[in-house]
Amino acid sequence: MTGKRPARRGTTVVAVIALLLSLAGWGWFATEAARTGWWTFGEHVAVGPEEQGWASIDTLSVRLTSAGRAVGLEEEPPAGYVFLALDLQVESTETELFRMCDVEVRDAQGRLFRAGREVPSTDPYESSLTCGTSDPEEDPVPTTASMLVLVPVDAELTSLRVVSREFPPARFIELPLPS
Amino acid sequence: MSRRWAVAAMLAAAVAAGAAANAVDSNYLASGWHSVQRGEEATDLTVGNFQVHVHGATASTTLEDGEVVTSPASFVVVDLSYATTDAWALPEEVVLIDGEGREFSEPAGFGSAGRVWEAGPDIWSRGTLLFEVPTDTVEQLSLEFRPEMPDPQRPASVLRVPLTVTRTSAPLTLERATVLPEGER
Repeated sequence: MTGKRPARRGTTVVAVIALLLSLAGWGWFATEAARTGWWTFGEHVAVGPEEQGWASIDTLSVRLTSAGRAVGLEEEPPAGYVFLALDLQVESTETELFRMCDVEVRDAQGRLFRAGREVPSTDPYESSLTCGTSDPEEDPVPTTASMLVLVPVDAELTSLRVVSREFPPARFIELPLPS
Repeated sequence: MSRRWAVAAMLAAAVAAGAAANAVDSNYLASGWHSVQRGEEATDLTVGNFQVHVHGATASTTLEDGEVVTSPASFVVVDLSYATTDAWALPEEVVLIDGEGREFSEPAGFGSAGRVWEAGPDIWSRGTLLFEVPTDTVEQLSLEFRPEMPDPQRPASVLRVPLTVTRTSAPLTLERATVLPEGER
């Protein structure tokens, strides 16, 4: 009797492992849609700047040329806020579809302040970044873009993000902001 | 003997895992708003990724909407401020709920100043929302703030705040939302 115990114990261990593996397998299978959605629609893979500050995804390349408090605007921000002005250089090889991308500024707390929201509509500032055109001859993608962002005066800004649903899943452009 | 116990334990574990999956599925995965948080007027409240501050509400049978329009029921204008905690976002929906649980959503055909607006992270803005409700329900209304569309894969929360509604005979006016100075509500 005592001689058989290790074999029985071994069978039990194998059965427990099989049960746990099958439960884990079912769990993995059951959560497939949730995991795919989380990955596809989230921002998980940052593409940073390479040569001379250019960052590229797919058909778009962007470079930050300056970032600082906007001056000379007719409208003042609400108390406790500032308008941050961003200047970008843009290169796009998308020549079949008109596309807009969103530009956001991230702070040390992880808050994302979107460009073009609650800011003065005045030249040369735009509310979204043009990143593709359907008519490259008549209406090419502008090679420079300026945008305004409303940010709290005490926010510790760390980076600029360019996001688009048209980018490959989970990817976005992230450029560090000069401190 | 120990082998029987082991088999029984595995069976129990398998049944328990199935029951737990079933409970999660019926309580959280079906679409709908599942968890109702309750709050009060004139306090900062948080639901999902939104921060909300309800100032109050006014009811009248008339509304100034380019011209003075009269309702066979009552117009209710809710004065509130909100911000998000993370990024610029538009709340999914804000509705009024009466004492019998009936929902009143934003009426169609009026100016855009009475609709939900986009708010930024810790960037509070204040504006008004327009509703039209039967006059006898005005005393028992609650505001329900729904921050996000119910996702089939996870539970969604809503915030419910009982309203103190002031009646007036003057036409109600709508205010387009504006960003408040820091610290103001």
